[in-house]
Parts: sequence; C-alpha cells; structure tokens
Amino acid sequence: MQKLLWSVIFVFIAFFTYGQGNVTLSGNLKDEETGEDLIGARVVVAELPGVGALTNDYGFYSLSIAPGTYTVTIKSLGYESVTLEMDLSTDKTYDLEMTVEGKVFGTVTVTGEKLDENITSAEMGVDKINMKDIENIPVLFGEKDILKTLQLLPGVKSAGEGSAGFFVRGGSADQNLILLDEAPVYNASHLLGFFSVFNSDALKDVKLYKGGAPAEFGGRLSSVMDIKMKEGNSKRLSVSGGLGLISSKLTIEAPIVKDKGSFIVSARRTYADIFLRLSKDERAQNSILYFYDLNAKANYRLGKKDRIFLSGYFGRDNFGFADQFGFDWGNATGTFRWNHLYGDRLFGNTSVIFSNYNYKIKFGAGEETFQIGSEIQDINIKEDFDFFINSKNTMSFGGNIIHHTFRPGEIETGSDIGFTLNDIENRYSLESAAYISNEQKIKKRWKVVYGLRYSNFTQIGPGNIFSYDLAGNVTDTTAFDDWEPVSSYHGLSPRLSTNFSIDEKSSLKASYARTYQYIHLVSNSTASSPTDIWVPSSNNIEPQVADQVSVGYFRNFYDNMLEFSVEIYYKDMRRVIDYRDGAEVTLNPAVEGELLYGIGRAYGLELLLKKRRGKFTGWVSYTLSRSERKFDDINDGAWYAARQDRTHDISIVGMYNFTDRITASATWVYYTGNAVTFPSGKYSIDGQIVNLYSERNGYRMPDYHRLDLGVTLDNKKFKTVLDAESGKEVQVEKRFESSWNFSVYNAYGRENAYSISFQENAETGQTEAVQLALFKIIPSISYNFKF
Amino acid sequence: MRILIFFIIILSFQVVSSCEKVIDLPLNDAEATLVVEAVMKGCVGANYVLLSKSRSVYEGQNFEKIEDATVTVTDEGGVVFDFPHQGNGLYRLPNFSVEPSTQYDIEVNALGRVVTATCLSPSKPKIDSLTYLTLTGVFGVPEGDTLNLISFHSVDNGAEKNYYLVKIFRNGEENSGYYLGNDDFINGIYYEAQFFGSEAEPRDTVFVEMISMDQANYNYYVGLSNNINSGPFSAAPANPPSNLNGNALGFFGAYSTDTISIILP
Repeated sequence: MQKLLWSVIFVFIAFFTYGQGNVTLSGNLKDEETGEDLIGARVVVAELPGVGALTNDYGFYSLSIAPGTYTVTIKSLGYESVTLEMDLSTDKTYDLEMTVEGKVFGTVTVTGEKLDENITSAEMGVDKINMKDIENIPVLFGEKDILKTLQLLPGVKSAGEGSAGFFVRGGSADQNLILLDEAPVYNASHLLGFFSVFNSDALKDVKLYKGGAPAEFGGRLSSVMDIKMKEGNSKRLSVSGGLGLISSKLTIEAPIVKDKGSFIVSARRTYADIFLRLSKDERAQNSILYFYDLNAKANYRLGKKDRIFLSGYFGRDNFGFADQFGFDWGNATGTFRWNHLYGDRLFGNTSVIFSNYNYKIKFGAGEETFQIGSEIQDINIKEDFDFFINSKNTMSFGGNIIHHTFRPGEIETGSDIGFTLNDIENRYSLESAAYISNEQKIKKRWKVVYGLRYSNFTQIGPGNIFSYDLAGNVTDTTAFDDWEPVSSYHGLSPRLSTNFSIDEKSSLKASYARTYQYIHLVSNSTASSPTDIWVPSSNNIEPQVADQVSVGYFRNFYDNMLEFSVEIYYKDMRRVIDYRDGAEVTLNPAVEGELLYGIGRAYGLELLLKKRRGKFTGWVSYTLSRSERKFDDINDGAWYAARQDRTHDISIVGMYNFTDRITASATWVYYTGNAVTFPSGKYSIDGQIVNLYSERNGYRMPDYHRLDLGVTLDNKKFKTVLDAESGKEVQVEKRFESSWNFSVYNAYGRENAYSISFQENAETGQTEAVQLALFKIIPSISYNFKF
Repeated sequence: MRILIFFIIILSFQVVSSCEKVIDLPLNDAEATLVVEAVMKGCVGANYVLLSKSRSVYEGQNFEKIEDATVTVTDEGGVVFDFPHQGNGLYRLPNFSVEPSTQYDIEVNALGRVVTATCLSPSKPKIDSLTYLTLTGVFGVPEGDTLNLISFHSVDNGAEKNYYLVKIFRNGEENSGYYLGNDDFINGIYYEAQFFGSEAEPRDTVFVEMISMDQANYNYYVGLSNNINSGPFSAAPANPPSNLNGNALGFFGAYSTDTISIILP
C-alpha cells in the first residue's frame, strides 16, 4: 500500500509541473435573478475539444490552458448559454450571472442539465433529481418530498408506507449517509416516517451516490445523499410559501448587502392535530401531534477571495396526550463554512459542523414525572481543497475529524417521584479521515476519477467498558479515563470510476469503491422508529465493510431527448449487524451483547429510460435485484433474503405540459413485497397462543402497487401593459406567481399491506391472517405562491 | 414502547383511513413439536409442568396434551422429585417448593425424546409495600369517576443481577398485562413503580405477585412478549430463546417470589 501511495503522490507531482506555463481562467457563476451559485456549470473552449472546467459546490471554476485567444462557452442546467471571445494571454477572472432559459413570453422550455452529461461524466450510480420535477410529482398529502421522489429512481427503494427510510442497492436504511450542508442528519423522518425532514422549498441541489462515491465521502456502507440548501436571493427580497392539507410553509430570502451576501429562512409546520380535535374519539381530541422545521442560511462575501456561510436546520416532532404523556424527537444541525481562494487554481473550504439527534419521552404531570431521553451529537471539523491543476486534471483533497457523543439513556425523575434512577453511561469516539482524489481526462474519450480515503475510528473514555462472551453475557468491566483510547479501527478505501465514450451518443462506465461504517443503528424494529439508537464501533463491535463494483452502459437517442442507461452491481458486505432472538435494544446498557455479526451480498440490474425534453417528460425505471444475509445464529447459518430484498421494482413517472399553465403528472410504482417471517405453527404457553417460526424471512408480503395523479395549475405569469414609449401593448412578467396543486395518492384505492398479523377470531376462535392497509384514496390540495 | 408507537400510528391515521381485512395466506406446516411449560416457585402448590404439542397455524386451539411422559426435578443436593401426571397433560408434585439460590435440573421423557434444563433460583425478592393514588379528572379519568393508581415499593438486591416479572390480580382475576424488568436502572436501590393501565376501583382487592428469575427465563419472557405483540414496530419475529436442551419449545423456571395485597377503601 505504501508503494501505491507513493506512486499516487508521484503522479500528482507530475501534474503540478505539467500545469506550469499555462494561463488560468477562473471565476464564479451565478443565477442572474436570485444570485444563487450554479453548481456543475461548464466552461468549454471551442478551439480545444474535450477541454473544460466544471463549477464546484460554491459556483467556482478554474481552467488552465496555454495562452492564446479562445472562444469560450459557458453552459449550465436550464440557463442560456453564453459564448464569447477571450484573449487569455495572462490569468483572467471572469464572473458571470446566467439567465434562466426559456424566459421568452408565452413559451415553455423544459430543459435539464447539459444534455449529454450522462454520457460524458465519469459519474455512475448517481441519482439526481431536478427540483422542478419534485414540484410536479404527486405525493402523499401533497407534501413535496425529495426522499419520496428519489425512491422513484432505479436502485433506490422505499422502506414502505410509514417509513421515510430507504434502501440503496440492497443495503439497510442506516447504511445511507444523509448530509444537509455537510451535516449528517441522523433521523430523516417526521411523523414516524410519513414525511422526510427536508423542506424542499429550502433546498437547492440533491445528489444520491449509490456506489462509487468520491473519496471525499465516507462513513456509511451503501450510499451518500448530498443535499445542499439554497443560499438565498442576493438580488432582492423574495417570499414564497404554500398552504397545504396538512402543513403550511413560508420562505423568506433577501440580500444582506446586494450581491455580497444574502440569507434564507424557511419554516414549515403541520397541523394534523387540528384534525384530531375534530375526531369523535376523546383520546384523539386530547392529543398533540405535529412537527415543524426551520431551515436558515446566510452567506457573505468578505472580499474577492473569501466568503463565509452559516447554515442550520432545526426540526422537531411532538406527540402528546393531554398533560400526562409527551414524546418528542428531532434533529438540529449547524454548519459554518469559510471559502478561501489560494491563488486562482486552489479553492479551499473549512467547515465546522454540528449535528444532534435526540428524543425524550415524558410520563406524568407536575412533579410526578419520569423522563427518558437518548441523544447522539457530533462536532466535526473539515477541510477540503479543490485544486484545478490543468484542463485535464482536477484534484480534491482534505480531511476531517468528528467527535461523537452517544447518550443511550438519560433518566430524569420529578421531585415527587421520591427516588432517582441510574442513567446509561455515555460513550465517546473520534472518527477521522483524510482523502485525495483526482479527476483526469486520459484521452479525449476516456475519463477516470481515482482516489484513496483513509479513515480511523477510536473509541475513547471516560467510561466503564464491558466485554462479552459469545452468548452475549457481560464477562468483564474495565474503567477508562477521559480521552483514553479503548479500541481503534482504521481502513483504506480505494475509489475508482471511469468513463469511456464509445461515440457522441454512448459510453461505458465502471466503478469500484470500498466503504467503512463505524457507527451502527440499533433498531429492533422492522420499521424506522424515533427511538432507534446509534452505537459506535467498540471493543465489541467491529466496523462494517463493503466492496462494490458496478459497470454500466449509457446511451442517448434522438439528439439527447431520450436517455437510456443500464447498470449492474455487486456488493459484498462484511460484519453487518442483526440481533439475537428476543433482543432488548431500547434502554439496555448491555446492548452490545444483543448484537450478532454476519455477512451480506447484494447484486442487481438497473434500467432507466428517461425523456428529457418536450411537452411530455418522465421516466421508466426498473430494478431486478437480490439482497441476502448470512449469520451463524440465524436461520441455521444459511443465506436468507434481507427484508429489503425485492426481486422487481418498477417506477413510471410521466409529466405533461398541456399549456404553460397546466401540468399534469402521474406516477405508478410496483414492487415485490418485502421478505418477512410468518409462523409455520403455533402452541400454547402460559395460557397464551404463541407463534412457532421456522425460517427467517421465508415469506413475502403481497406485491405493492399504487398510482398517484396530480395537476398543477399556474396562475397567469404575464400581464399586458401599454408600453409608454411605443404605445403598444406588451406582456410583462408578473411579480406575484401562484399555483394550485391537486393530487390523488393511491388513485385506484389499492389496499397495500402495511402489516399482516395472525389473530384469533373473537367469535370462532379460528386463527386468521389479518392484513392492515394504511391508506385508500387520499386526495389533497395545496396552494403555493411566490413574489 | 412498541405499543406506544403503534398507538401513535393508529391515532394519526384512524383520522385518515385505514382498513383491516382477513386475507387468504397459505403457510407452511412445521412438524408438531413438544412444548414444555415448567414453572417451579417458592411456595407449595404453585408448581407444575404442562406438556403439549404444537400444531399448524390455521388449526383450532385444542392443543394435543402429552399424558404418558415422565417428569423429574433434581435439586443441587441430588434429591430427585417425581412429578406424576394428574390429567390433561399436567404434571404436579403438590408438596414441592423451590428454595432460594438453589440449582434445579429437570428431565422430561416424552414423545420418545429426553428434554433437560438447568435453572438457578434467585434470592427471595421483597415487596416493601403497596400504595395507591386516587385519581379524579386526571390521567384520562373523567370528572366524577374515581380510580386508584397502584404503586409498588421495593428494594433491589444490589449483590446480584435481578430480573423481575410482576403480575397484578384484581379481585382474584389476573390483569392481562404484566410487568417485566431488570435492575439496570434500580440496582441496589429503593424504588417505586406505578401500575399504569391496572387502575383499581374503590373496595377492590389488589394482589401483586413479584417473581424473581434468572436471565435465561427473563430472556424467554422478553422473547415471548415480542412474539405475542408482533406488529410493524416489533423485531423480526422469532421463537423465544429457550433454556431447554433437546428438541422442545418452552422453558423451565425455578423462581423466588413474594406477594402482597391491599384492599382499597
């Protein structure tokens, strides 16, 4: 490995020297109307085919080429391209504010990113969602949701109704790293999974890496979901909002100093509890049930070379019953970032990141109370650099260190309870990583991104650390001091992805990635629950490791109007976690003794056909896959289907623009039912009927399918005024925009099984299989506005 | 917790819609297996071994009883106790009683197989007292109605790891729910626990039985409650972890108990 590392460094040094003697064109690209940074915009040079630069996450680009006069074109997702002659005899800075495409009166242009991006980029196993699509796709209660929309893409599977959890390429829900402005979000669901914590009004860009994530990312086995919040309008005050069936939201954005800094504040609250008051049931009337969240971000440009960002999220669910019982949970995240340009080719970013997830359950009123809580908290310091070496190489490198605090169980009692209870001890650990990665154009048609990530995880004191025997019983306890290392793990993760363009229309891609996961979600339930807790790798729990290879073929048809891709993957997982039969994981100080370790494998085929342009847009995605697990103590040591093993998974999404004011949409999903364990016998113990189980996940839930429909009606976007000079009638854009959205969830009323239980019929005493379906047809309406 | 979350789900979505229906779901039939329920306590007359057979899910509930087995219990001193069949699969030795902190072995000979198990009885637990809190107009009790919330007071034995099962009886009838807990949060201290959901009316007689058991039996009861209360928020369903050796379902428990009762005014 040492040798490999040296050769990598050597290669980089070679690029450094090669990079000398060139001139550099650099700058920032922004949206003309809002001042938002443009991510992934391209700067290309007509005279040098295959040479170009992409803007990074902060809208910065840098391109080093030989001195000369060039025709430079700047292009971006849904914006008018700009072409200009440039004399590049010396280094030059060129900033540009780009105009949204299709701002021509009375016409509609639906555009995407650079049309052949899917063919030319080395990225594979990446799902991206256009924020515009999210507005049109019908969803439950009309509540736009990026997590739910991403689940319509191949390889990403919904954990089912009542869960915002998702499975990526056969991995479990806790193997997804969900980042909001770099801060990990530990529990991404509201209302027990019916909604995600992400308010799409505050979001700018979402990207999901299903495999082959860049070396910058690590810490989870299966995927990285990278979500970026909007920066806020730096041109003028802008207000948008929506009134929905179960929630309302409001977003305010404005410049702090025009073109230098801006902020955005976005808030959302549900009012499901209002419906509860209408209920005839007295218990329901006395109940509290709502969630709210708040996103805020501010940025300020200190000078040509420095810019700072401060962003945060705070969200909470509240459930209660009169004043006797309360249950609330939520995430808080905060990110402070400082961008600095070291010269015109080296872009640096320093981040300080905070993340917290906790839940509290309170019983009793007044001083007669009893409260249980649990928490995970991270403080992360991160440094990232983008080095635009030359027109063929862009290097990224950096590192970070996270301090994790795990509070598995804190118990507080009111003064009238008369006794106190012991807490479960906190656990602490340090997780650090360093990475280096390079994107290189080897030949005109061949691009490679290669990188290496080193990570370390050290469990530290203070604490009384348990050891366990094979049966999970505590055998020994050792006391450790503050910061004293208890156990340590580390690993090297090579990452490689490559793209070979066969011709203008098609390409072949391949990727390999190794991933390590040092913290684990302990959840005894088959659905996600707010009381799930995270545990660190320790003297007893080793990190999970996975290797994934994938290959794909990408082809575009009809002048990039249709996109087609096929990818196959194989993922090998080691030291994945499951539980002993009858395990107790909530508030158990010896929870590590309840865990079992095994191996897993997942493989599949993903097909995607997408229509990008025209009045009709949408896609069809199909996944054929397997995901299996093997544990010595489960299923007699034989391979069994993981819960998320789904043979077939189909999503069809269609959107049709009737006029510039009416958009209709429909989605249809179908998937094989989850693997489940059903009894194969019964017996009587202690006067109760007990189910007898023989094999793990040996049965299937019924197949799931559902059709959703939606219509969005935009109010008139233009008004006719008399032009003062010419005296003619002209159309001008209205400042106030609004739209109505109508949707129907589960349009043909399919009763999809949420659970199946075996119960004795009260009259006949006969055991019956009883299926519970949560939703029939759910219509909803919402009104959105912006000015 | 599970029940709680399920309650939230139901509460949230009964408002919207949810529907239950009986479906036709073919299941495999496991081979009928011997079921051993062997309960030994520190009081005379409360000890029994019940032997039966499992059956298919969709069959009726009249489980076949095993009437021709031999059941013996041996204490750590080597004294052997024979449990004769008393009819209907029930094997009892009326005068037998469990001593605290003693190891017992059981041997069951039935259906052509030998099933054995070992269990160590814990020290005798002690219920300190029962108290009650009269509720009117709070905790969901309507104005004008009076209910009594029963509290239970005890001191945990700090010298050993304790696992408790507490049963509540009202006017001689066992409450459908029981309390299962260990001393993770109460090790060696005086504590109080409220029996929520077991509120009693005036002039009721409330009887509480506290059963102290070893870890294997506790794990069995936890597994049993997971098995019975399975739902969307429960663990992947599994058979409760049995302490029996040999091909059988069920458990062998040697328990130490304490009881107390209170008559409400």
